[in-house]
Amino acid sequence: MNLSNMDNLESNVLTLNDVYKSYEGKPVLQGVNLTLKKGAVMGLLGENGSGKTTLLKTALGLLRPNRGETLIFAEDAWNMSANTKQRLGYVAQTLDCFHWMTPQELFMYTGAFYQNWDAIKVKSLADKMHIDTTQRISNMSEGQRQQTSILQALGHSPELLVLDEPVASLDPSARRSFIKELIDINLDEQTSILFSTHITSDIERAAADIAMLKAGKVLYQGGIDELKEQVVRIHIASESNLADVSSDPLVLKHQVAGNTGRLTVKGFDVKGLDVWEKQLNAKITVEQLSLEDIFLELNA
Amino acid sequence: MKQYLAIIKRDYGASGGETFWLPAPIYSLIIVVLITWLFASSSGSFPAWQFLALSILGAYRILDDLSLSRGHSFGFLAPDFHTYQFNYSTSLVFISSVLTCAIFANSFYEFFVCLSVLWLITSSMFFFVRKEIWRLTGFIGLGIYILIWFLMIYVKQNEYFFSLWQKIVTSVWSIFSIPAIGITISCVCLAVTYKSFLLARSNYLKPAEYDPNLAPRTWKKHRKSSNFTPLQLFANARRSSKTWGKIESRVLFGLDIGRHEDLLYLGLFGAKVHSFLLKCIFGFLVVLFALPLFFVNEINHEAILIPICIFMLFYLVVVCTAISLEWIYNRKSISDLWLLDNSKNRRRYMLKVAMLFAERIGRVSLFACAVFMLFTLIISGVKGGLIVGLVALLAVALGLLLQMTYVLFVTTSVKNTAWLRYVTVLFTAFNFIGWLAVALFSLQQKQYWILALAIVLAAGLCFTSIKFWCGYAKELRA
Repeated sequence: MNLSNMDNLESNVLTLNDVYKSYEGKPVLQGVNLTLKKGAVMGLLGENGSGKTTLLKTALGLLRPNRGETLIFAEDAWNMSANTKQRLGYVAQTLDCFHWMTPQELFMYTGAFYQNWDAIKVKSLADKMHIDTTQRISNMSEGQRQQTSILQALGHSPELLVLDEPVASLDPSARRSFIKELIDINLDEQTSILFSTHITSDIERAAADIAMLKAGKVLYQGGIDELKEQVVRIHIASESNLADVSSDPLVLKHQVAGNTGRLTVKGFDVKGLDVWEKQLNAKITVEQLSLEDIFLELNA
Repeated sequence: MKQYLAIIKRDYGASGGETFWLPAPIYSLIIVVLITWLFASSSGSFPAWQFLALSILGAYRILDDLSLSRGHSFGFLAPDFHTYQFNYSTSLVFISSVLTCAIFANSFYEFFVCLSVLWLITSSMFFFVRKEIWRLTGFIGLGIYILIWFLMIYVKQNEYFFSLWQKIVTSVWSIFSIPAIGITISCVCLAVTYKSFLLARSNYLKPAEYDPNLAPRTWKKHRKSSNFTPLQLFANARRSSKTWGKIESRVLFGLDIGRHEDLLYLGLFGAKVHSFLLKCIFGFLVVLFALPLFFVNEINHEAILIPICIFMLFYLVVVCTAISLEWIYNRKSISDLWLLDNSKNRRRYMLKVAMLFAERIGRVSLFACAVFMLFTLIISGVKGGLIVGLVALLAVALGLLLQMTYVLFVTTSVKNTAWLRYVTVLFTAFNFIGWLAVALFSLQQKQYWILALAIVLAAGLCFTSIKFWCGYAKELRA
């Protein structure tokens, strides 16, 4: 391993190299490559069944990849040491245990296994989220359980926080305050965060990076701003009938009627706009897309 | 140390949660107490098989907890969780086995021999924690349970088996009576134990995939699982056999027949875990119940009625407890299902729901009575069989009336607390045993007024509880 690779490993808290995972012969992840840099916040976006949960679980060593490599803090996730586990926090899609406990008992139980568990911090966060820590988890609403699960993952101030659809059960105000909390944690403690969600506005608010997953493959990984610059919708108004553009690999979607057309293009470069205008003998206007539109276009 | 304290606290909390299971430390303590009692009651000549069977059961229960860490993400991601859980369970096995051996043994030599044999057996059980061999474990577990029950009931009834068993025990014991051989065997046992323990440890601590389906009942609420409780073992074994499935569906005909299309019935009882549990218990007991048939020609016909009667009582207590708890836990759905039902008013609806419960519990009890009566007819002839059968029927009918009263009262008035399940078990046990005693006493002593009074009392209580139930105006909460 050369020096630059070593540096990369140091700066990447999470690395997935060509990861394949299948359940009973059915492929779920197909050659996934993903990196999360130290201090970065990344949103994982994908349709239902695209493999988001499997990706997160594989990344954490909860599942073993059939092929490929998963590294957390430069250590094999499948054989993670106790020290690495001390630096990790995970929020599952649903709180998957201890329904008979109260949050207070749950935090005490969890805290026993972490060296730097901060009970005061958990208490103040619980107060902030208005969680009654003395009532049984089984009597709580889905949203309150989710919040409890989040607190359970935050108590030991992890360096890497992985959240599987953390806001799915939260109401808009709780969601907003949670996102704010996430940003604060990232800013205050330089915690790297990877979270999956269906809500694109949350990703736009909280994350600088995004990974889009489709049928077990990463369609895009990088900055949200870059993605927005790259995927745009262009409106063409030509004086003559437009040529067939469906075979162009940059065109994701097209809608052409006579001499007007609407194309969604990937890898758009504003410098090439003049060339297109000349080629098609048309007037072209560019429309910026929202993240949700981009997601829909890429998944179409 | 704080990790172990947290695990102990968790175990005690779990016992008050969702299951019948006692926490492992309490369970091991009960085993120790039971062995002491058996030892005292057998005036020094304690049967080795009982000692071994109970010790293994204790260890088995403790090891059951090891599968905990495979069932949820915390077990995987909390630092060294597997190690702590393993050490904790191992220590419990160690402490309880040392205690039981100390009670059992008359000398240090006996203590040493017993401990080494016990550790050899329990250390081999550590391998069964892994998922890959759960099916095998299922069969072994089922085998052990059937064997234990079989021995407990038949060994003392059957001279041939008893003498054969005595011979085996005596010959094995005579080998150990020579200290040199005993110590050599024990040392070999300890060496093998040590090796198998290390192997099991590395096997357990080896990374494995997270499988939420392995989540044990003691940790989770109302979820099916592939853990290693005896019932689950039975279920595992059951699932792997198509023939068994067919037999079971025939045997269970009395439970759900004619109700597959009833939405209210399905809403209340369908696909609920306790129905699943109930089937397992039922199937298991039917197997045990059928066993005497094989030995009808070999022993005193009248004597065989005693184990059958015990089985029937045991069956009734277990099944009625399961149905009662199923009902109590599902009480929240009674409020929800009101919207789907076409009853005229809520009063009628509540009556309908109560009748469904009565029908469900009545069906299984009557089925048990019918089977019991069949046995009594075969064994004691028509006259004797009918008398014994009718006594049983009477006792069951009285028991059902009071059981219904209890359940309707609890559903409306008692919160789901830690002790509810234990109270229900005790109540059901005393209910059926008590009524059987009353019925037997009044018929034997020809004091029929006692029976009549009991019937009036039970019916009156049941009627009042149904009336209260129908007029219950508050929301039912889980």
